Amino acid sequence: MKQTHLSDSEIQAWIDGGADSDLERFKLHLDECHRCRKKADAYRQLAVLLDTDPAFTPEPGLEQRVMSALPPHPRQAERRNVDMILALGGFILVTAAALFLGGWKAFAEISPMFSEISASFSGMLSRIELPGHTAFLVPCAGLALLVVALLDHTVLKKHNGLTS
Amino acid sequence: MTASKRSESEIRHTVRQIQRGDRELFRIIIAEYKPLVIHVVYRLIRQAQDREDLCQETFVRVYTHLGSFRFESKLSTWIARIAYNTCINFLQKKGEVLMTDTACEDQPEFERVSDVPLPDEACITEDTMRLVEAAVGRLNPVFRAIVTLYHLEHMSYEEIAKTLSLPQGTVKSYLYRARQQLKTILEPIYAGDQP
Repeated sequence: MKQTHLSDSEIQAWIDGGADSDLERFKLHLDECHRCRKKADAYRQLAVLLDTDPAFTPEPGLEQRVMSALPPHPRQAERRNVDMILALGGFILVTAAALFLGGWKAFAEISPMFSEISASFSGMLSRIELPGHTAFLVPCAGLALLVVALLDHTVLKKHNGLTS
Repeated sequence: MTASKRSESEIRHTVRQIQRGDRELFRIIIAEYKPLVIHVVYRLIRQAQDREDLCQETFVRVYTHLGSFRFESKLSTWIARIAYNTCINFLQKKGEVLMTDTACEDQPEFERVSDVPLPDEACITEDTMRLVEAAVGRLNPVFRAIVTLYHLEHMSYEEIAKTLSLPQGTVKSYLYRARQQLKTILEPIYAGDQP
């Protein structure tokens, strides 16, 4: 018999099997060492007990309680935030185009009501002095919102440990 | 692992249907994974009412986030992670001390069960299982989860590591320590009269 007995971890590794390169050495030792073999038997019996289903008995009606507590469809709920941010980003982009390309003037030709709104809007705009780079910054804000929406959809969900 | 009644492809198809809006099919997911969720929750939580609430909360969270599930891992691993996290969050709110690496070194010595009748080795009685559950209940929550996922759900070290967000080596080490403690507690039950 070898002088050095197997440790508890080595015996458990032998019980579990697997690809440990030392398993053959453990086996040779166990063949010769009564003390370690006795310990291995104890671990084997423990494993049998732990493998046995304890047959927990939950209260009946779990399925019904869960079904009645479910929120709206997960996909719709998840899309709602993203869609709102995308819509807001799109609105900013369109507004920027209307302001800086003069597209809003086309509405004035549709009806007198739009004509009045157009006139007052035009007067208001004429009093506003926009910095030269605003034409660049506003679409950038829209783009930034789109990036946030994308991050919300991917990175943040993953960070919460809820992606597969 | 808990006996699965449906194949992997059937489950995948069911999940896709639910993601597309068939809410009623979630009953299938509940039926399929109820044993897994119950194993995790009942092993981690002691109070009966809390167990029921957390089983329900787990499934509601599964449903809520099912839209983000993309089959990059097994559904069972993902559901087990949600069940485990739900229980751990609950225990933390209750102020229960979870194991850390340093706390692990200071685990108390476990006393052996000395006054229990030895069962027939050939059959595992209800009394034996009650003692096993009592012994598992004396472990810290992380050890309890690892023992449950390894022995009842037959998960690999890799799957347990993903479920508990721990390194694989740590999972293996914790499992060995947990079983060493359980052996100390339970040995008289099955090995007390061995030569």
